[in-house]
Amino acid sequence: MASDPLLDVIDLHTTFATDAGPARAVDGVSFAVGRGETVGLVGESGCGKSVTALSILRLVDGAGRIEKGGRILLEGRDLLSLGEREMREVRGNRVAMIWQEPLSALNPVMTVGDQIAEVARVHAGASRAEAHAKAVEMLRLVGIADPEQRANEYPHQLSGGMRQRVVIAMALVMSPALLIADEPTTALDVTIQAQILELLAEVQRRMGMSILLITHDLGVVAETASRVIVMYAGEVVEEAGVRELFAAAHHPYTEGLMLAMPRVGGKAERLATIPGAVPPPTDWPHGCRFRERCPYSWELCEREHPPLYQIGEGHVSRCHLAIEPERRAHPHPPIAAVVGAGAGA
Amino acid sequence: MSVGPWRTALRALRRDRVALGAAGVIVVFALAALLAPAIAPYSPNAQPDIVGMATLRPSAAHPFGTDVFSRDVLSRVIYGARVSLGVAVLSIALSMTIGTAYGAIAGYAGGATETIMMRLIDALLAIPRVLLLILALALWGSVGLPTLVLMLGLTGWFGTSRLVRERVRALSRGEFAFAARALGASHARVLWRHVLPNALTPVIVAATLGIGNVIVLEASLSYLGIGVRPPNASWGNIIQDGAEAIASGWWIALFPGLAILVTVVAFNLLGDALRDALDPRSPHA
Repeated sequence: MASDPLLDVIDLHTTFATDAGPARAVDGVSFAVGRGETVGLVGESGCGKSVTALSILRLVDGAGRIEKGGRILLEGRDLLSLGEREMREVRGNRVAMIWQEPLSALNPVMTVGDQIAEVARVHAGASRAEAHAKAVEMLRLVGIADPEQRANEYPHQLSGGMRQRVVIAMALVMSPALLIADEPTTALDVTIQAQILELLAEVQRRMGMSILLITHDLGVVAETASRVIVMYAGEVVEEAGVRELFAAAHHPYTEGLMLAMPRVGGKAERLATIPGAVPPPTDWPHGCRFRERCPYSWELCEREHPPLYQIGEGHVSRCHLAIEPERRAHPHPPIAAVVGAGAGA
Repeated sequence: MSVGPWRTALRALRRDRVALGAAGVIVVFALAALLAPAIAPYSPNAQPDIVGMATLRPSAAHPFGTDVFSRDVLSRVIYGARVSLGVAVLSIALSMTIGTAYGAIAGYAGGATETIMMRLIDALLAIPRVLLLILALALWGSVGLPTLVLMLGLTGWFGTSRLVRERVRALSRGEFAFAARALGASHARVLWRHVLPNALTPVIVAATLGIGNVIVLEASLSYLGIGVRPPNASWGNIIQDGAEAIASGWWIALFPGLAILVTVVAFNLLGDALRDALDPRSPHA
């Protein structure tokens, strides 16, 4: 990572008011994204990765609130200190987002060309004709054949893969410095998934932007990201270069995610699962938040919330195994599995 | 082939014979209203011979007969179409605009603003509209047509605002509105460009059905003598003239009554057909 990252998130806390009390969905998250870099943000649903993304765009309105004290530096400027008008200049212009379900992210009664043109009109004050020309150009850029014709069509007339290309085209109109992709391939067919990932890599080469790729799929991360941040229960639990992570994952949660990944050529056995579920964000447990699902946990894990230990060059892990590595040789059934089995019997 | 949702609806409508018939009837009445001076055989207020030509039966010279003042009923019904349809269309346009704006703001704002705005609507809906109008018009004394349009418009938007609020509320919390904000669109722009165009289908249906309602309402008020004032002809006050002479000249009230019946049925049929055509769950789409 360069010394001057494009995005530097420092101690981000995002809380939602719920009936059960404040839910600390993002609880002290710090990470950076370098210029031109692709960073994978990984974790299961409910771990806070999407809320982290929305916090960067300052779009957690309603019941959500970004707590004071943290900072989100984009190109050196703290987004949390900007007014709403300045923030609108950032959205779609410097930071853009693409979504999991392209059909619901598109306006059903507006042609896709008009929707792409809309971005140019909002940010560049383009005339109708200029914006339309831009829309056609963007459709061509994202690999849609016959863009003049397609520009006049409505979202329901396009295939899922084409819709996602349209969503990407909208995001790229202003050549943003950072593209946040929230599960961009989850809703698509496997063959289309590869095409979309390829497209993202290609536009990145051409336009040089950074990508924050949010996914629960380590396979997607392995193909695209250079660095991986693993989130669990509102916190970063591990961060490493992608090779390092796949070769030597340190945190038991990351280890669990890897074992849960289907492998080509692997033995046809049942996929491993991580027992239990993410605890509710209104009530994070004391000590290590993964403790009950962890096969290595011991008394220290209950007593002390683990800090991010330095494991290696650019590799950190929020696990006490860093100070007592010999315990990894002696796994035990996790508490959640024992409790779960007891309840099931 | 590019098929927008409006064009899809239009195509469905074109296959619907009842809707086509209703639309045809409405076009005929609208043309009659617009071209009244050219097609009405006589001046609507001319009283050629109040003694010799009063209350004449329908004949070749006077297809709908004449009234007690010897005025030609056909000419009055044609000019009455101008007033009745004009008042209805303008007041509906006014009430749909107010209702849409009010509902959109309430639904988009949410929270306490929405609650207060909608409780106010509940209160206003609790007052019978006719009562409100009679009260206002009676207090006003003599009202001109612009005032009548204003009053019908100002009392007709409460239901619309509810419809719009509900749609806007759902849509503005939906994903594409959010996606638009994530690309830097302001709240106003999201509401105007993305949410409202998706919320308008129930308004179009409500407006079509509402025109029928307002025609009847205006006729009732005119019949009661507090709507359109004589000698201006509206279907309502022609019926009133006829009601006084019902024993000697049944035709005076019958023809404007039929005009009301036919247009209102036409607007209702068209409204129903529009509802089906614009409903995304209907089989045509």
